[in-house]
Amino acid sequence: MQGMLLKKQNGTGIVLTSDGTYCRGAISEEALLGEEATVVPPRWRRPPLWLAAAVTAVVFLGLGAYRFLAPSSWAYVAIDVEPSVEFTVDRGLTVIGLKGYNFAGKKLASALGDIRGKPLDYGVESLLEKALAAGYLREGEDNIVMVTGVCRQEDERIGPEALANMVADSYPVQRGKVEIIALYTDTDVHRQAAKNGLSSGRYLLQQELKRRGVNIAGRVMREESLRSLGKGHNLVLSAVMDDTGWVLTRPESSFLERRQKQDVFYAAPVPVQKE
Amino acid sequence: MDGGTLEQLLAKAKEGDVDARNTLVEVHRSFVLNVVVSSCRRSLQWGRDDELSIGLIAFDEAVTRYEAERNVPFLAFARLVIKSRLANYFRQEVRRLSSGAGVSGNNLTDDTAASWTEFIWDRSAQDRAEEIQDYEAALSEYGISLDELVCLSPKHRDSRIALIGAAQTLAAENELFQHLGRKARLPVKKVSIKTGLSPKVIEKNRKYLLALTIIFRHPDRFIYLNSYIKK
Repeated sequence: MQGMLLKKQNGTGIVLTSDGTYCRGAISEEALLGEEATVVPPRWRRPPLWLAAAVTAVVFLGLGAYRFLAPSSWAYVAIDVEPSVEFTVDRGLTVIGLKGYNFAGKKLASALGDIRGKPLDYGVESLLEKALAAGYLREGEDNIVMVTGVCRQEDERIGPEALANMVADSYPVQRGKVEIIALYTDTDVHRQAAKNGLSSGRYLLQQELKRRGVNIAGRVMREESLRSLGKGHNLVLSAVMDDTGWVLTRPESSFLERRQKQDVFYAAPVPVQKE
Repeated sequence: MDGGTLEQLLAKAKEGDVDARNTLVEVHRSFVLNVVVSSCRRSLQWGRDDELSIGLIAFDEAVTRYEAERNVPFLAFARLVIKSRLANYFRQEVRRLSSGAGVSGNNLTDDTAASWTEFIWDRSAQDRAEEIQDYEAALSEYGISLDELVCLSPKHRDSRIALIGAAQTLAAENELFQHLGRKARLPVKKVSIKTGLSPKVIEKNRKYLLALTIIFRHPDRFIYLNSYIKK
């Protein structure tokens, strides 16, 4: 292509043709700026059809393989004490993600490190141990643990009963009363909760309290411990959540008593809460 | 004045037609003024400043010495002659002021005149290169690079012709160009009304259009580029 040479660099040049095209290509060493010169534009050949088809096939196969091999989220299990932490698990209940919803939750999640690839019950156990070590669960005091499951399809392993038992099995505090509230909800609520920056459990609690005329600001609901939320508003949380979940309680017992027999949790009759 | 008329007048002037020569000089007074002002870098006035007279004489001399077969646009050649004559004038002025001697004038012997003319023709290569560098600098003022213009050039000939026409229209519109100077952005709606191109086309080819407009807006500054693009 012939045109006026506008730029020359490392054997290539840019020319402006008389019909207004700015064109780049290889140029001779002798060509001078502003003079008419001929550039040879780089050749572009249409790729053969078979190559295009092969590339398309590879892309689709790759996407398929990725979808097949990469772990996809099957369920979410949120644990709320003061920290709000949510495990994302695959179909085999192996942890594939961990998220802290509030300040304490983020701190605890980072203390837990990378537990991806570990079973969910191991994750829950480690989390409760860290919560005890960090002082969120206290020996000899009343503690409340809320566990909420969300699953893409019905799965007994993520049901309230199973989750409550999982928490009870790995509960690390030796003395004092404990209430384990297990809830189950759907993915829409989970999405809505995430949008509000709350774990599914705290979101359900907020909505339930709202229904009963108790409005708690999102920031307070996110950061406060369940124990102080109950005390602050004179609520029995297990009663508030009544028929939507499963509650396990361990009555207060002395350390000496507990050393002699196994930890016992009772499926509690739902306490009546005066509205 | 279109190129054809300029060429015709030039041909006639070189054949000795005094009227054609006078017309040529008269028509290009503003060109001479621009070249002389850009050399002197101060405002000048006809009838007051000697530099302008020297510029006019140099332009007339360019008509005499121009050779079309050298493939250099006449105005580019005239610009070189004017600048060269002005440079001589400034040198003589400095010498006169320092020694108190009178001006010896521009009377050259035939040999000296021939070699001087040859020097002017050789100088045109450098002049071209300088113009291109000046153009690149002008583009960069609007945030345009030559490299991106390669990608932005329309592929279809018809589109290019339409955009060249639009660029010429835009270059002639003082108001539009002033807006461009202030905001460094094309007023798409106004350009669309003036040129008849759709706003979408203008927006898509904004930089390309601007690059051409710069060339057409300054015919005295980008002489080589102006003479090269088919309008």
